[in-house]
Amino acid sequence: LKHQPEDADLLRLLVERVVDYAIFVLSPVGTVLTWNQGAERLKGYSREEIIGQSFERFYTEDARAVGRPARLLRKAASEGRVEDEGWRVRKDGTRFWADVVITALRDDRGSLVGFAKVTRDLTERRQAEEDRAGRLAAERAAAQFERLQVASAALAAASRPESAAEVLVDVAVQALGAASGLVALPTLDRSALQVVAMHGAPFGAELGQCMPLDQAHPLSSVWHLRRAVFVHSRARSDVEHSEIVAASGLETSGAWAAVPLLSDRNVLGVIGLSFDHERVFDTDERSFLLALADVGAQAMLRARLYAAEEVARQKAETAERAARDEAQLVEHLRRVSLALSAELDLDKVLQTVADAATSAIGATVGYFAYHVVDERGEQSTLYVPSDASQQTFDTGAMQHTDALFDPTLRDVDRCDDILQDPRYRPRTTDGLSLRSCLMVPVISRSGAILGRLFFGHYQPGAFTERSERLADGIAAQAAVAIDNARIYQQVQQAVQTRDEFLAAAAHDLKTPLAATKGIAQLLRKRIEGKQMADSTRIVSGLERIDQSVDRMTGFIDELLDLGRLQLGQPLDLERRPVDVAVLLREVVADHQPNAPRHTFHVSPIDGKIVGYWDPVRLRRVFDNLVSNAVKYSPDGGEVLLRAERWATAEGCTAVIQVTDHGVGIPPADLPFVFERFRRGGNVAFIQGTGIGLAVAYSILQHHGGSITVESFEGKGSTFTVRLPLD
Amino acid sequence: VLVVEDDAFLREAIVWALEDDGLEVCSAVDGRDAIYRASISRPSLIVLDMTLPGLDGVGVGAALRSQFGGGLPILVVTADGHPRQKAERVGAYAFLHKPFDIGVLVQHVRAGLSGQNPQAVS
Repeated sequence: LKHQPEDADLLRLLVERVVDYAIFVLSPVGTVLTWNQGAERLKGYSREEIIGQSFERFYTEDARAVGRPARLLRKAASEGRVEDEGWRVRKDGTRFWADVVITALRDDRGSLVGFAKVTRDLTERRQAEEDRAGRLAAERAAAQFERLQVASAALAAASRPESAAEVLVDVAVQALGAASGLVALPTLDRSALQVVAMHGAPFGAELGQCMPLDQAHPLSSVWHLRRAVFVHSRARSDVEHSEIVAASGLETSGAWAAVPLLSDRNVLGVIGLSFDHERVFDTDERSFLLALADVGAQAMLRARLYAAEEVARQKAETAERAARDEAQLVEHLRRVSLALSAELDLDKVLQTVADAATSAIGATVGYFAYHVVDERGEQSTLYVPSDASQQTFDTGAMQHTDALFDPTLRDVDRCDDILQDPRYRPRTTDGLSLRSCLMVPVISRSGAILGRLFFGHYQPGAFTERSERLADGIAAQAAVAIDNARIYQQVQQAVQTRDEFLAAAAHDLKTPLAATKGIAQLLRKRIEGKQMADSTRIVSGLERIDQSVDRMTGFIDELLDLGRLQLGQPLDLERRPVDVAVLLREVVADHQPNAPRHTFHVSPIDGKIVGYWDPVRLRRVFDNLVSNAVKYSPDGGEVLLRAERWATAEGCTAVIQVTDHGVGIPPADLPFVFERFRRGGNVAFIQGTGIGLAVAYSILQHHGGSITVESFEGKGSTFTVRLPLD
Repeated sequence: VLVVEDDAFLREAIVWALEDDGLEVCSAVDGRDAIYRASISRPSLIVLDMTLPGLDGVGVGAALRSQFGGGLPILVVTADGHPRQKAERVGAYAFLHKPFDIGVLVQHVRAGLSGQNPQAVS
């Protein structure tokens, strides 16, 4: 340093009197050589105390331990000056924040003669700065705490992992001021991460995209690392995460961060944040993100549990609904069953089935197509619409829809949309707008198809598998009810037939009884009144009584024969030689008095055809045939009886024909003429038991013979009896 | 008196009993015969069997009523159930159930001829 002499004095004064700066000189090894008032004020040492002492005592113990004072001197020596800021220690041990400049002092030759040291107390400024930084940190911590709290609350409300993920993305992006962010969760098979929430377009990802975990990517790397990765910039990341960045192919040059959602070392997902520019993540930001990830992981777990619970609840609900449906089905069936159990009338059964089934199935229209087979074996279909269907569904519509289904089908058949069904032929004549159809056959215990239940709905797909099951159940109950009703009907008919038969039989017995009684009373009166003169009348009266008793005996025998035949027992024939021609004449003689309008012709008049037969029963056969010939030709006319002997290869046969010109037998009744209790459809006005021909048929069968009939309604009948002659 | 009965023996017995009582009697074997005989002999009373071949007793009764009016007394004789209803339908003054007492029948006929109703059917 070169100074003017007068300046040197001024300079010395300046140095000595400045109190705001400690200005002093150190020897090249750091011994204090000069001291000024500022130094004394700042450090507390007096000139006498400090001159000759090492400057190292101004440093903290820590700084001295690492050789900081010597390093500063070396640096000042090599670089000319060094500036330092740091804690320094006063004589009393208190600290102050010092701003220090050490300048190397060299002579003209350049050799180091010492160091000039200027120290300033910046404690107050430092304090102010520290206060401000503390305040800012506290504010930021408070803000982040608040964000965490808000996030926690929002996460607590998230019932699905996806909604929790959305909360996480929003909070993270906002807190760190990221350009974009995402949350990815593992797929079910844990082979990939799927983006479930996104803000912007980070890492070139799309919502719903799956990133395989075996492919290099910042997110998959974090998944495997199980710890957070913060990359300040691509350039700086070269050091720490170079391979991650290189493999990811990220084009952004900005910073990014990826944090795993960890729960017990399990990775539940990954939060990713992307920034447009390079940036440093300070401790607060890092810890905030980690805390957010913690909260997020808990929320994920909760959401998963909730989702599992939800699935379980839905399963339980489905099961409950199914159980309720089943109970309803059973209830429907029970109601149908109840309605049917009380019903034995076939028509009412059909109606009840149609009504109950249509309402149980929930069909718009429904009917029962019942197979009717009449006595003559002719088939037809009786359509019984449900009450509700009667207005809208006529027989034509029922026939039309019935034709959709195969009548021999033994299983339920469903048509979800009639318009799509190849079987459907649209009709133009009606406005049939049914779309759904359901048909179920009603099958009897015996396996016969009794009919079909049809259900229709105006909407397509109205019937389900459940409707099918219900229809099946109803059909089974309907079958039982119909079977029962049919049996009941048969029993009723049998009872009615028996009653009619008993009435007819009673009449047939009471009339000869009345005659016998009447004649006996008359005879008694005559004998009592001694009116014996006319003995012929008494004799003929007694004959009448005798004959009446014979007739009644014959009739009772016929009933006994019938009884035996009913039980399947054979008749005991009392065979004797019988001349059938004589028999015919006797029968005609019996009937002539009661048939004034009929004329009987027996041919041949005097022929003899003798066979070995039961005369009583044969007489009953012809008595029946002649009586029928008279009875069923109320207008009178000829009754022809012809007996002939036919010789055939098998032997000789007596052929007897009885012909009348009466009402005849309708063709439909002809096959049943010889059945018990069967009477022609056109003779209801003529009294009869309906057993005569049936017994005659059996008697002739027992003789090895036969009886046949030829008849024309309105023209008359011919009965032909064949009896073997040997 | 016209006796309508399809059973020959019973018809004969009734005719015999009424003749013994001094009445003039004719007979018919069925409904058609009855209407024919009635138109010829114009009877004062008819003994009518209900169960006849062809036209039955109810039909005969109706035909006779249309021919002779409601005043003609009819005595119904039947073996059927429901004799009362049938008797009512033909407007008979009395009915007898088979087998009946022949003396009672004669009494009924006598009563019918004298205008008394021994067993009125209302």
